[in-house]
Amino acid sequence: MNFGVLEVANSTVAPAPGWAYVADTGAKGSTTALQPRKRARNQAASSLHETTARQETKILRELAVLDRENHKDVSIPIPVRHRDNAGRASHGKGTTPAVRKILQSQKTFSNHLTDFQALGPTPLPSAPPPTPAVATPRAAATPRTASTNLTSKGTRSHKKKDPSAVSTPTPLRRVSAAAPQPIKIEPDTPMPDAPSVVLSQGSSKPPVPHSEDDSPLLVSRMPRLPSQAELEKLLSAPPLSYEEARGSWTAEDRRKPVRVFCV
Amino acid sequence: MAPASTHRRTKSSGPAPPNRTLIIDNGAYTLKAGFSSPNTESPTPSIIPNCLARDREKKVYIGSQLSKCRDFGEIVFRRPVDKGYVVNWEAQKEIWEHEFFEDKAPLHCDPRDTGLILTEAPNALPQLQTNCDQMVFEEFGFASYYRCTAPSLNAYNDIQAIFPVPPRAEPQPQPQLPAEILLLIDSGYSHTTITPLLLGKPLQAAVRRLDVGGKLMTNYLTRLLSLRQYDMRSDTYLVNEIKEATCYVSKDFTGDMARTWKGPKGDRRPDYGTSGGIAKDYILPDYHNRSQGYVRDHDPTAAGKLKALTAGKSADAAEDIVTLRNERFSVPELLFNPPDIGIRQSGIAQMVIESLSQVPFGLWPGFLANIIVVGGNANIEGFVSRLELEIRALAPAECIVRVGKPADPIVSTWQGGAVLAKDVDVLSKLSVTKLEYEEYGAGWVARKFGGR
Repeated sequence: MNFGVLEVANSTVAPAPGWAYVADTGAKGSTTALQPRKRARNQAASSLHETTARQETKILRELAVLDRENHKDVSIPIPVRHRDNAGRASHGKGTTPAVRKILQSQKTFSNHLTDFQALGPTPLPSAPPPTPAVATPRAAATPRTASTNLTSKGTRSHKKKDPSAVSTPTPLRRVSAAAPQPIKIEPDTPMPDAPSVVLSQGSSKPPVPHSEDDSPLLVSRMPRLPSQAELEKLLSAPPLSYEEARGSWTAEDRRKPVRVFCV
Repeated sequence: MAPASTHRRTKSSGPAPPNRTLIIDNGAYTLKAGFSSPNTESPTPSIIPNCLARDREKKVYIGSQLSKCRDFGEIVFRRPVDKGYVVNWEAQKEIWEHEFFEDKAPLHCDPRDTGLILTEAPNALPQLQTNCDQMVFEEFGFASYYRCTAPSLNAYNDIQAIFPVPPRAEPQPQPQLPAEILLLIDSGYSHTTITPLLLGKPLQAAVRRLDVGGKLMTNYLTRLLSLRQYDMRSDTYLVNEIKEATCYVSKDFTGDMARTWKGPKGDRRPDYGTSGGIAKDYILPDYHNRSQGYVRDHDPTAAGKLKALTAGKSADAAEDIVTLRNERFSVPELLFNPPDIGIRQSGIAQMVIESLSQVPFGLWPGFLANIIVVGGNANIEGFVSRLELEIRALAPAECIVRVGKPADPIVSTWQGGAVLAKDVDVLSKLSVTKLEYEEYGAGWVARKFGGR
């Protein structure tokens, strides 16, 4: 882009009217930087994903500030007097080591999240890829669902595995899990039947028949309800991880200019 | 009919279920708690601040004690729940003990003969779930326990009664529960989640989260007010009150923005004073004569505090006023346009469509026609109608879009849990007893609640 010419950062540039040395950071950079910096409204609506690293860190820092609980760091210890009398007395049937560990842990949510990410994707038994959800003939015919699904799937592509690799742990896990749990099967068995019974029937009364009901102009189409197997698959899917469930920023929204407000 | 003892033994769940259930919707800002049982006529929850708070006199308040606080100036909080999940059990235990287990606790109960329904935010980390299960059984010792995501409990409410259209011909005495199809949007303190539910079970692959919640909006309003008017960074409690009293979701963002524009220097807009009715004054509490602030229409002619003082009025008569204009609607706008402050996520309506893209097309009409919004942010004026408008614009034209809000969106999740607790058979199938926990261990419990 810059033809091998590297710009040396120079903080002492005096902004002279008329012209200035400008870092060529992109197609838009030269046009925006020529205008006075102060005017926020004059800055061309550059979308966020074109921000520089410095702007990026600034935004992240500001978001982190907005996520804080208190303006300053405070620690509010548990009142001591409280802990002594009732706390242990009414309930002091000897806390187990596991409980003591939990109570003493001062980890924050981000600590836990980092731990989780460090452990890597846990082997989820019976983790079906999300594609079957839209693999119905109907859904495949609608480009809208297909395309949106593709984008959201892309964010999770790191989880993509060889299907056989996923399926092998499943029976193992199932067998080991099935042995000590006589109850677990019971709540599961009625579930598959339930959706078909309920979802197939409409609750409202059909409207009064009309002579033109069969007219092709008036006919209305309903997408086919998913099959029993599909519903079961949907309902038995394991939860997504915290990161996976984070809503994305669609490509369409990215193209929209970011609104900039004066302070 | 077999005698009670043999009947009990044949049941898979072992001992008889506890005769009442404590339902805790453990939110980050408030926890909603109360009892329900098949005999309870109309169970009602208590709304308890889920925090330890310390005021400027260094007095510490635990949970419901906060209602005794008279001076919220510079009050600071410690919250056990972060991002919707119980992270700090030391603080959570203190609050629970104060509310449930101490002798003088407002909702006193003995966990050994009480069942527990506890909510969590969707997509929790497994470690935090394990911690939770261990605390419930090993520390508190509840007789039985059902941990579920908060959205799923909403399916046990009569959701068709929430929608104004179509009007119900005759009151149906027994609505079918759980609701067969429901798209639940839970917009709380930590974040906003979207969960499609079939028969009360979440479609896990389609659950989505928008990282905009009440806390972020309060902090954003704090920033705006601190930059433009008073430094309120140490008074987020007060800013939250201002937010709840004045914020609304704009139907016409650019139009409202233009109405509240002051205009350039030398060319002030004549309408700026009242800004077409948008400008409101919030009279701040001074915590001497007034412990609660209040809102009134902005009066551009009224002199500020300074002028009142110079006119010879006493300092008591003068008021501290914060005038709100575009702050009123640009803060909740974050739910619809998170990139406004640099969050790289689409707005809530787009996220509903993203969630639905994981669902077979045949279910779209059902979900789009049964959208319910719960959580504190649902109370923001204009939120539901704007959401309906935006979803309708994105949804297929043939689909009917209905967005409803329960009468009290804050306790709606809890009420669903209370309905569930009335059905002992269903609940005992979902729950884990203490015996089972001791026999099969934490991993088994995690699998059972994970639906695996």
